[in-house]
Amino acid sequence: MRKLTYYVGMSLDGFIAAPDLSIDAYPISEEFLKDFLVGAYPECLPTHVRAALGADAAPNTHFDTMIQGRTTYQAALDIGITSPYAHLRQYVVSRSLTESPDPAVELISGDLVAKVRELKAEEGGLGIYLGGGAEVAGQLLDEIDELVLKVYPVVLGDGVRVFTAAFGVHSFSLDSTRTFDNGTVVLTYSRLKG
Amino acid sequence: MRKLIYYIATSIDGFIGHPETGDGSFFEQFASGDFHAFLLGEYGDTIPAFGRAHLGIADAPLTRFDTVVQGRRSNQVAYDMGITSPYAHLRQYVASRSLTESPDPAIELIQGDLVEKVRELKAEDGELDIYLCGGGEIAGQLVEEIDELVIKTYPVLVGSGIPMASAGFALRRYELTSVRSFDNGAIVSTYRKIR
Repeated sequence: MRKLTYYVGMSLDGFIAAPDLSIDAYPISEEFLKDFLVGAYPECLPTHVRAALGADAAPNTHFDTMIQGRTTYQAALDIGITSPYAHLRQYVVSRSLTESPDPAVELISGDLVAKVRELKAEEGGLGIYLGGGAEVAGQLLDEIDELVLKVYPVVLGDGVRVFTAAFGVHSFSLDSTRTFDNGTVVLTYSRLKG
Repeated sequence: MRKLIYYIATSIDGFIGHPETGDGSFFEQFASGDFHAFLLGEYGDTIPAFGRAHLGIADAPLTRFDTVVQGRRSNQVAYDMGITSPYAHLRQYVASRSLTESPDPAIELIQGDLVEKVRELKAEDGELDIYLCGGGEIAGQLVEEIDELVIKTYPVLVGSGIPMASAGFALRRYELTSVRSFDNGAIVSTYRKIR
């Protein structure tokens, strides 16, 4: 069994991106980059960013598989990158794409929940990194086993929500909190099985 | 000068109440243990008067706040329970464009320029601060006036609801001043506005 982990950065008021989908609003410090983004979750950085940071060879620590939505993937396509997480097994959720832009990327066009359950049922290996966005996270809300939230010290007021989902109370347990010099608090939660 | 402090309970995903009713009672399950003791000890001023009476701290001296500002919808929650002066131990303001008369002599309505009125209150001399009680709409209108955030994050996801602050998009930066976690999985984090 593998865990599905939603690892994402968000504002204090629960937005993962600006209304125009940009995410450059977040303050990143050297310490946070070195100790957390690279030091703790290097595989959650896109391959080209790892290269720029000299972290190409960093071993995967938590995940060996990545799932993202079409809109999130499009951000990579827009800068000419078709395999943004080449160090992971990559899935892109899309109802509109008919052919994968890259042999390293597998499309999920059918039943997303069934596919994720299949991946979770696999033996061994590391966990599954859910990279967003809000829509895919909302569709997979009941399958998420763990949340790793990088809470940045900003209030945005409007933008893309961390989940697109109907109201319902889903209980989690707090596993850890970690704070950094840029005011970021990383919160880790596990789903409470009820 | 006094500070305007937004002290608020939220879900992990940043919602403060049910999307239609605004009700936040799904947070009440967490009022227990060391977290409850912390709230009573540090933020007893923010407990409604009937709650303070129930807890035997009705006459406890104020330590942080002497004034509360809330939106009409937020005040309505108490009103619907038959309580017209929910924070009788504080000086109470309710922002409303629809009410023409205060439901209680202890409550002063703010019908005009909300930001201007809050600036006036902030300019007063005094040791204690102003408790911005919500909801999301008034917090959005006052977002640039908020000096500190005290965010109680409960370990639930709710998917949709009343946002913490219904404001337009802008990058509003804060300095993290403290984080504390509790046995029940709740977190209290405090932030100061960077001006």
